[in-house]
Amino acid sequence: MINILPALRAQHGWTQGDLASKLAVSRQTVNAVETGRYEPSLSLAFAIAALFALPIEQIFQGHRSPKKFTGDTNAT
Amino acid sequence: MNISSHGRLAKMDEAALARIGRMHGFYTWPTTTILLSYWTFLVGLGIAAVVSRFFMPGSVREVVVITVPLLTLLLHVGMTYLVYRASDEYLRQRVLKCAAFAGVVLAFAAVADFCLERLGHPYLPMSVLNLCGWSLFIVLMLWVRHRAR
Repeated sequence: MINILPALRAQHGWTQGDLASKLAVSRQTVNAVETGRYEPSLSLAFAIAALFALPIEQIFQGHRSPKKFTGDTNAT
Repeated sequence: MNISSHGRLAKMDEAALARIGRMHGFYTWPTTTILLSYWTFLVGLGIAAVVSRFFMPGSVREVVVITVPLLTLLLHVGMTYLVYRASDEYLRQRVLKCAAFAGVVLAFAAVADFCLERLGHPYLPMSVLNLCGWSLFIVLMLWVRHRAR
């Protein structure tokens, strides 16, 4: 999953430490999310979206393909 | 304001200030909590070993040998869990990876110990292996917390 977090951060003139303190996470977490090594939880993604006042799908792109979903939705 | 240019700190050289900075950087509250509780656990193990070696058999010896290591281990595991709960989601994931890695290493070490024993090598108690595995987990966890300071 790719994200535009570094660009948004640069736009606001924040360091990774600044963003980490605003989100109440460690700087390592921000770094991992930015570099794509870690996919944030829903609550963290919502917090990031609320902080930048943008929809989540605008910040995080590259969804998992629906074809990979193997659950049987027709099961009763 | 550069604090090294004022008062007594002005007399300290840069290397000393850097050393102090590194110390404060490492001894954050999570690492201090883990280290102190681990030290307590090791002291508890030492007390149990000394008591079982030098005390006369009796109820006091049995109580000390059983309860002291168990209670200190309980304290240590509790403190480790507290540090885990106080971490954010990415650090929790990394701590869990550390636990999984230490568990796999411990499992392989147990199998290797069993095979070596069957081949005639001296018997190594499983408690020693467990202590080594737990120590490996603690070192890895301290490394994760240290990197996240």
